[in-house]
Amino acid sequence: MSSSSSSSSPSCPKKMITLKSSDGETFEIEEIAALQSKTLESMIDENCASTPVPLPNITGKILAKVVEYCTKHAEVGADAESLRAWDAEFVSVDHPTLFDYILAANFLEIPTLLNLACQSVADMVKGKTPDEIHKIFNIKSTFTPEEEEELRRENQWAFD
Amino acid sequence: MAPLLTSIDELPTAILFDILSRVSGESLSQYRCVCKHWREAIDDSYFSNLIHCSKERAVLFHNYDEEEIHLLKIHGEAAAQMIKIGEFPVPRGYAIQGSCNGLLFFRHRTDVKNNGELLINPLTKKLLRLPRAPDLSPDVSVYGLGFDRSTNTYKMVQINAIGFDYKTRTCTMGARVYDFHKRSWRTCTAPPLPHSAGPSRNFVFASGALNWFLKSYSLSDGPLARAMLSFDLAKEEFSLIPIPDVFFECGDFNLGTRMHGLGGSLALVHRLGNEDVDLWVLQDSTRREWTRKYSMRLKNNYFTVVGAYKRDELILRRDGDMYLYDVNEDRFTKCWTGARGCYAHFRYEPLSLVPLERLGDAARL
Repeated sequence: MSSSSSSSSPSCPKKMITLKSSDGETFEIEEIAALQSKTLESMIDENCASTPVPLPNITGKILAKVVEYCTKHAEVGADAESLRAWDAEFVSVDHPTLFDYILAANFLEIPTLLNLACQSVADMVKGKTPDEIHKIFNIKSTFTPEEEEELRRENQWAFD
Repeated sequence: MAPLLTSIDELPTAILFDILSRVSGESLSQYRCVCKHWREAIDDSYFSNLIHCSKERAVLFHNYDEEEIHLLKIHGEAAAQMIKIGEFPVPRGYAIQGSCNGLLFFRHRTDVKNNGELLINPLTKKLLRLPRAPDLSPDVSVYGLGFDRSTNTYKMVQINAIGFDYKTRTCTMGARVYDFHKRSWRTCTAPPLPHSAGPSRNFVFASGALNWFLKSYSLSDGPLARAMLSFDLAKEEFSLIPIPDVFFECGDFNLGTRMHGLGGSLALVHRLGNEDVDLWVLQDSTRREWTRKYSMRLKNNYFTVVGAYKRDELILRRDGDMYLYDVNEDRFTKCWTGARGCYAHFRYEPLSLVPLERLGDAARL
């Protein structure tokens, strides 16, 4: 049997930390993956991550995906191209889920995920008219009819 | 379990800023009417000079014959062509004297007495009639408008000669500062001027200061004084910035010396007699040290520098045409073909969404 030169050493168990979602589900994540979250990183530094870390504003459904994201991004040797494709797939979700990713990434301070999700939303916004924005994002205009008329007139310059 | 939020509108404002900052400047202005939260986010971030002042830029080309300004944007990485993205008519008889964060300062070319100064945002097409210091005569006043980062305020300076001593040929200057936040004027210490020199009309806002060339007022288009006048917007103090000696060594340099705000820093373009054009940048504004950044061997003398497109890539203009010039490769790429015999002024400005309403009673152009 030939010896292999890659992969993890079996004698050293991976350090795991446990996260607990708002709805009571627990998730295990490798410490190295958790370090992508600045919030978790400081907890690990201060030795507060030995018991399950409660995350009261993240549901199990979202936390599972965040763990998946961090684990994927902590992988060694992933090539940039396939990671980009994986990321694109990751954010191909409905708006409410995407916003939940943003809130989770914001709370846990995961800059890469925050950047990915915000860019994804920005890409959805680009090129849309305000009416389309209202529909796509389910936003109610909080202006009075007079204010709205005034604003529409103001912004009619567009691309002459 | 139901998702935490269903609407983008419920995202924290800081995140909304992040998302909106990734959307282009021109389309962003129309999103002001989506809802109040978005309008506040868009107006706020631009006014605080946070986001769009350095990101998106356009070439503004003021055609004096047609009294119109056209906005051109550089489009496409490889081909780098310019496309027109808008235009607007300029109030009759006005010319741009300077700009700040994409806002254009206009002054009437011939009749200042009856036509006040204007501030225009070319993207939102809003116009603001600027106030004048009540006790200074507008005829011989020189202005500058800039943004003070330390207090997040726009300020305007009006400098005027309030007395003249024929014997010593020196002017007593008065200076007033208009604070757009407080909407009031205050007096500040007059600028120290060298003998027989007065500030020229055009100003450049760069490195947190307003800058003017000083000219001898014995001749209408006289030689430049050896120093430039500078006004620190935060400290509200005038000072003199010496111009490198080399500018005064070769012949008549005045016609070809221009001041620019290049990437936020003050820059001087010096045309030497032999087709060379040097670009100097005030790298260290506290120590008043200039660095010769580029020494360009331009094929003929009719190129003028419009702005800096990228690192080591400038936008040059010759007659009605524009070129991207790679300084290192000495390569020209034509990106705009205009009319021959074009009487126009070109500038490279950021697209600003600064709502002029915050500075005063703005009106539509």
